Amino acid sequence: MGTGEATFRHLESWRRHRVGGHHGDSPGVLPLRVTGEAWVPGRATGLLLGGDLAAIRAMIGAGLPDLTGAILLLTGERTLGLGQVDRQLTHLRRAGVLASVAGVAVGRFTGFDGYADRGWTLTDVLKDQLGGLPVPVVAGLPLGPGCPAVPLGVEAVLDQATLTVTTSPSANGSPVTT
Amino acid sequence: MPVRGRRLHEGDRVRLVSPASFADDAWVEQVGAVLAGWGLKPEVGTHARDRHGYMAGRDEDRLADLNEAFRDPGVRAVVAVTGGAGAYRIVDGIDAEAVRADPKPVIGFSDIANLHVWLWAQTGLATIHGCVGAGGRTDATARRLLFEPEPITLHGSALVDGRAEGVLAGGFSGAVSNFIGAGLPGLDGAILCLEGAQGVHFDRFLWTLGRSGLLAGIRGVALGDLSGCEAGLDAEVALGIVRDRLGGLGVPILSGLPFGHRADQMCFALGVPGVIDTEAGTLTTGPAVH
Repeated sequence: MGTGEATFRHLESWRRHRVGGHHGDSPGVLPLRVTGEAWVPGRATGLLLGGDLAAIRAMIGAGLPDLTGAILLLTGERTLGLGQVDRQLTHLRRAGVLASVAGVAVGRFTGFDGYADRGWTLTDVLKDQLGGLPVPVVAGLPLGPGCPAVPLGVEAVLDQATLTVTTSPSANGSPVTT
Repeated sequence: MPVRGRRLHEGDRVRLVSPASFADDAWVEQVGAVLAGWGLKPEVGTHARDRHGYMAGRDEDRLADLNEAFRDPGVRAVVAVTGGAGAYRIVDGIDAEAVRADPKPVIGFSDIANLHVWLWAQTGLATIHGCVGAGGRTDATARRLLFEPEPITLHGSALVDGRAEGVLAGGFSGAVSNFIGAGLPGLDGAILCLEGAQGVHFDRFLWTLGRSGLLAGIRGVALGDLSGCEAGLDAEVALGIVRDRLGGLGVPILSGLPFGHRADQMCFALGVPGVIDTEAGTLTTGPAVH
């Protein structure tokens, strides 16, 4: 369980063993039903995968598992300014990741409260990159740094502004070789 | 073989563009004044002064300025006014056919390295790492690279000894990072030039690069300034990371070269042959124009 750097382990573990881990900083409970703001309304079902944006981005071209059909969870911690988030999302877009997922669930990005750069805030950057996607996008979900954990690699449903996860992960099952 | 534009002559038109962030008017004027002082005719792109968040206008407008400069046969060089953020967003819309049909030097650094990497990968264009308007040897080398088909030599210190020849590629590490798994070709035969080491991202970038397989056949590494950009690292810390991640490649690494986010940087050409010689402490870089 973890956020930030833990996403490297979660993605690698998913690629190698189909074991997803838990994204969050405190134990969570199932069923999990969290509500945010629907940026692109709709309904999508898929395996919940992803986590820390910087980590996902750093694995592109270097072992990022196939995220086709997934509900992509995006959270983050501020390291640099808005440009860094923009670069990371552009990298996901240019590598084809954003075009392959079934939906996007945007959680917490810490360190950006009250932060603006020449009139833009984090929300402007995220909305600019994600608000035009052809798949459901829900933002402002209470997931990620400082939040209760959500299991990864299990089926999740995005429906309008709500993300629902009811299935427990079979994390103790035998590793699946891919 | 690098695709080089022709050398500039007095009276040539050059286009100022802002593919990433915007600069204040005084800086735009200064860049134009320096170019005019070289006998060139600077023109400011239609949207070069636009503002859209931290970017100089919308993606389509920044891209339109860039492609207009590439397509206009009378424009003989493309000068990025400043870096910042946003060039990575528009690279895939660059008119590669126009660049190949009428190659011309593009000058910039920092976020503009996104253009250098993309143009090298897609067209083989020789570009110029650096900027115009900062004075000193920065302007002196920029002018020389635009007007004279001659090499430029930079001096640094050996991190890993050796001598190697290769095609110079890279620039700002954050820009190179943007292309891993998204258009960065294998670096077989290349000397990777890097500047700008930001926080945790530099170590991750080199880790990713190592894992990507793209370093197979690399000839050498040339390091510019690693501290001066936003959240730049302490130079010794950054060199330690380089040693850990790249020291085992068995290729020469030259550090402390005067390019990147620092005062009085030297401009040099990317996409052209270069030579690293750690005994002499030199990176010799080929001409940007023919």
